[in-house]
Amino acid sequence: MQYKVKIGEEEREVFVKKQEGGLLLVEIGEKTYSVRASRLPDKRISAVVDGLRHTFAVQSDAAEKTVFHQGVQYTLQDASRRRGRGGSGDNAHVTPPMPGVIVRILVEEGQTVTKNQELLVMSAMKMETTLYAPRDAVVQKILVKEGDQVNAGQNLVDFAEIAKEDGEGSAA
Amino acid sequence: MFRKILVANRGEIAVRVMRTCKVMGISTVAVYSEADKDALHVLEADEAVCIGEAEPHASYLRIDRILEAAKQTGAEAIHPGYGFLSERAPFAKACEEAGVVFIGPPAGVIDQLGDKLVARELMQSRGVPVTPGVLLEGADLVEAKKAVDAVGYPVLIKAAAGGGGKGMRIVERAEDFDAACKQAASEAQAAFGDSRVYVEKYISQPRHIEFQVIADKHGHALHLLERECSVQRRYQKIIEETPSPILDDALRARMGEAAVEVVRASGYVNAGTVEFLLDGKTRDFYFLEVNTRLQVEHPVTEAVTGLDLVRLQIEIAAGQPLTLKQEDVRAQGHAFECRIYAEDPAHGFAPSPGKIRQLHLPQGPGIRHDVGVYAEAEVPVYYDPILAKLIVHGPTREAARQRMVDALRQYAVLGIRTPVAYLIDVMEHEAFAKGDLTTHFLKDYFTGWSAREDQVDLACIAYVLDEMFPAAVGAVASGAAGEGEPPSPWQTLGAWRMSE
Repeated sequence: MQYKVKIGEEEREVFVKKQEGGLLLVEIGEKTYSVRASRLPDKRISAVVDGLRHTFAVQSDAAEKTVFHQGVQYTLQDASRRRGRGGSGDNAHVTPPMPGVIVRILVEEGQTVTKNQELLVMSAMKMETTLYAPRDAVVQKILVKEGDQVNAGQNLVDFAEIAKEDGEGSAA
Repeated sequence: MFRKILVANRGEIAVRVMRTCKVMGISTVAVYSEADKDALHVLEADEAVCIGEAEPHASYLRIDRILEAAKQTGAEAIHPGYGFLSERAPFAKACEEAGVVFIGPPAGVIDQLGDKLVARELMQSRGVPVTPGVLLEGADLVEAKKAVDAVGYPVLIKAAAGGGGKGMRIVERAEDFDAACKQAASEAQAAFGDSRVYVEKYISQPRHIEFQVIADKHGHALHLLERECSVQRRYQKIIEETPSPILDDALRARMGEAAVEVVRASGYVNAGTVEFLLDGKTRDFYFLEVNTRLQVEHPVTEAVTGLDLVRLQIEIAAGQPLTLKQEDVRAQGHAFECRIYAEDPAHGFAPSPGKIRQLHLPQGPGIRHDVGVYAEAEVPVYYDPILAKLIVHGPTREAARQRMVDALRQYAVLGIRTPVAYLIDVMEHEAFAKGDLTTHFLKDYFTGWSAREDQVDLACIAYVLDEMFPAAVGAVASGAAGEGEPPSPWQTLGAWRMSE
């Protein structure tokens, strides 16, 4: 079995060979690890890696897995599943990173904004967080108002492309 | 003794207070907001009353509804915990008027000590040292210099009208004072329209040392030793310990006496904390303020003294005299506390509310864990993001430090972000291990921190194993799949076999 895993900016290929008696040989780069593992009733994974026992807590979500090991949290993605970089998902919308309440709206509909310009301020857990423009664009529609409760991932602002000003525009 | 106590708080502190009530045979009432109907403090209580909507001002800050809940349930006393209404004099007063005992100091004392300037003047009049400082207005530099000489160099000049570092200057030598003062005054004028500056003693190695104090209604007051809370981020304490690595017995005795003097000067009753700033270089200390409530970090004091502070609070509120004597208060070993917040240290400590998907907590000798949440519970956005406090106790500072690192390494919280990895790095830092602390510690050593992801291969192995051994509902039937055998669907289905 072969897995392509992305961790931070790095991609790693992981090969797994099943041996007799439940032994797994896991190849990462030039290293080969011998692994025996089982799923614990409390969802954790117990594994003996090269003779040393480790316990992992793993949370699997649609886009990524989070691994907790020895108090350190790792976020890993399936690198083979991503098709092409810079898809529309990343820079088309403004979404809150966490649930909260919209405190201030700093732009108006129809306004042209530049990348990283401040758009909205939200408050969550006694702290204010500013949300920025993901790219140069025109604010087409603001989908929330001050005081609204918003959820992580919710789209707050619709953008339109900036009309090209060269050509006929400059003639007037 | 009271038969029933209402706890006007939520989270780990409400749970902690209720556990002592249980031990004392006192029944408990929880109050909760609509966002907290499944919260741990509600499950822990004998009775629970919903007091309003999620927003704190609509529930946990509603004095009228809390008193109504007390009346309705027949609670005779209210424990306010920390935060929320705990240091609001009007709440203590309203309790008194409603005939419910407020477990804390009298309203008048909260009021007086809540005003920082009043408190400072009171302490000064009783010979408790405060940071020397002088307000300069007008242009008489000769007079000003005399006053500043009395404060002693180095000094910090800051705008009297505002904060934010505007007009702030450190002056090391008297000959530099004139120029610095003029610049600071003109900057202050430009920034705040007010040229007055405040000159105070500059403390180059400030350490936050506080003393737990306790006083009964019969005039008996004592201190329960110190806690060092120098590891702070933007005035938010993160790690606390006792004893402080910098105090020796003589300095401890002097500071302790000053703390008890603060109690006497203010007519304090119940548990409180006297905060001092200690200059690590000169070992001079200065009164900062009094926290008129139970502190977040009270468990480290409990760990080394063997006392239950909440029990003492309740006994004092019930009018019982303290039987404890100052000479009986001794620290056994060393204790640390790490605060576990729902926040992301890799992204500016942004709050991280949401659903806790998995929660695996450390266990072992000398480990205490005050937790306010459980697995699959939701961490609401409305409140302080503290989830839990991990407290360890060991025979020496080094043993306790090592125990804390080991305990943190057993921790796993999934679904939300926590600073566990950050706390491990702080506990393992060389300067921390040596006890070389100042309130600048985190700024000096941990600005721009990122996690040491030094076990990437193991993380990749965990990734692959999670794919190969799905965490199915019902999990693997015991004994069916041996260690190392990826289970077949028949095993992971458990009892849910298809009938056809």
